[in-house]
Amino acid sequence: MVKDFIKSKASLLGLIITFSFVIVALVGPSVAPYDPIEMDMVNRLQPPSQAHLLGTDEFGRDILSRILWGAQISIQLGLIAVSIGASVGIVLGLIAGYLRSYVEAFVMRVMDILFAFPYFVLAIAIAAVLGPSLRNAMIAIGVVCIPTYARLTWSQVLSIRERTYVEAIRALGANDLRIMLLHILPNCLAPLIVEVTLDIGWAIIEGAGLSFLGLGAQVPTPEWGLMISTGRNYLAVAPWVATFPGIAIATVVLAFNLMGDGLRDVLDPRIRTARG
Amino acid sequence: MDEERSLEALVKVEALKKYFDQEKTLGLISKAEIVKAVDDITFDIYERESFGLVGESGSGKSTTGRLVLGLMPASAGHVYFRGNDVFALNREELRKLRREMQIIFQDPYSSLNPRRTVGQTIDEALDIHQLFPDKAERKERVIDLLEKVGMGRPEYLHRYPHEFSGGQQQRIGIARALAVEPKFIVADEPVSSLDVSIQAQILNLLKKLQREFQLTYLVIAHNLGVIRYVCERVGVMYLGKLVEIAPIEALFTSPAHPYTRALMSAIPVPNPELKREEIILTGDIPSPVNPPSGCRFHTRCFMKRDWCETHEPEFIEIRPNQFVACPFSE
Repeated sequence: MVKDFIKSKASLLGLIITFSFVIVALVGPSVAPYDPIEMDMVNRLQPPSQAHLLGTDEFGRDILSRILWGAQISIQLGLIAVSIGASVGIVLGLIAGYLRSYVEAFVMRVMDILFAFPYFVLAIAIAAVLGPSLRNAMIAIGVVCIPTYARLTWSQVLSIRERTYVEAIRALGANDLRIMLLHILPNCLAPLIVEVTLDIGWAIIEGAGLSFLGLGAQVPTPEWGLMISTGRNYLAVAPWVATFPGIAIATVVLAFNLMGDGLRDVLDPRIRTARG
Repeated sequence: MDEERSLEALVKVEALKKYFDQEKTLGLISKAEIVKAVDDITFDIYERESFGLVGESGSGKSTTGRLVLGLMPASAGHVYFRGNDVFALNREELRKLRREMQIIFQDPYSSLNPRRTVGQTIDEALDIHQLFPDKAERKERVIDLLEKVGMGRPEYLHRYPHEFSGGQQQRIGIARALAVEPKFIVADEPVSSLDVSIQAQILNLLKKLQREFQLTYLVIAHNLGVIRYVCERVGVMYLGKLVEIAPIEALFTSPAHPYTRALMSAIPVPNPELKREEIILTGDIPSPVNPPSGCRFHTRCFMKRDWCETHEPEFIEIRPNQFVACPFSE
């Protein structure tokens, strides 16, 4: 299986970039040449140079350093948001699919309601209600993720619960909790792993989007989306301010997508994830 | 019924019925249909005997197997295990009863969790009922069980189901069933999906284990050769009903019910010169949704009279221990 994954150059590229991104997120802040927040008005809006490899922004802050710190923020955002969505969604899907009857009806209809809203619109609504902050952006994106995992898990549970080995373990006298956690859930994992991988990238871009709109990270946090938002005003005179963070986002999200697609092809070509 | 056997029946099935609701939709019109999978069957299984249940696909034999273990609720009727009404037990009582009765499945691979090793699968059976709480003892027990089914190598413990052949997988399934020390095992088409050469091995294993552990078997099969090899008494099912119950040799030498006679005549024999009565049934097997009135078999029966269309035949003891649901059989 690992061999198949490596065969695809796209997935390998995705894996390498994602891996690098994780490394950057972990060590970035320690190797960043400058403080990401401290202002230096003398050197504002400097183009890329030897002193500032990616230039400086409107407050003279080194963009490279801000991007390195932003990596950590973005990965946190991606991981936390998806963790919230996946943990709640998987549990709901598991319960709905296994217990069926009114539990299933209630849970899945609530999920349908959430599904009815375009993802981003729903995220905006939740973030607006909770108040603009990075933490609330993570929660908003997490909540928006929930129905995806619920439905994905639920549809798998429906077929897995009919399998003979589930009947066998029931015949042995296992209780429902054991069946759900030890027999059904482990056999659901493959498409869920693919979904998580794809969603981390998606969550990062959603988070950037929310920050761009002012609903996520707040100044002076070096979050990539926020950097684009504030750098937008200087596009004509200092395009590097908004462009580099944009490239960072695009690269990271592409990497997660490539890796996720590679994983999906390797684990089971017949897997359909919620967003295809 | 039988004065010679002093043993009380281990399993008593009484007027058992299982109807499934199905909805058939054509465009905008949907109709509720009832599939009468098992329709009023009664039989007993005695301790340490090997009782076979034979019939075509759709005869209801697999469903009967599941019902006997209480794996699905019955629509009507009773199953008594050692006098306990299986369908009247609460959760905890049923769970305890599960130790005494187990099942082996038709498809050995799908009966094993692909994400668990052999060791984990058998260990779990012990864990559920908290047998051998000491880790070392339990591991020994797992190896011991595998040895009993001819798979006693320690390296097998860490392997996954897909790493084994069909025959080996079935052995693992048998070991798992034995782990909880049952008295009664339902073998649902235990060798149908295995190579012919492996079938004999598994059947021999089942016979050996029966002697060793004093087991009682309900063997469900459509292959009469399998039934003949393992069973002492057989029930023949047709469209959810039992048409004949007889000792195995009586079934082969003097089948009574017309359906049984047709089945027997269809079994190939090695000698092509041998002249045999060849009974070929006309028509197709009716749908269990809309079974024929009266005797279920009358639409295909070569001995049919008018009476058969309107009357459901009762069991008659035509010879000692041989029961037929047909008043016109000889």
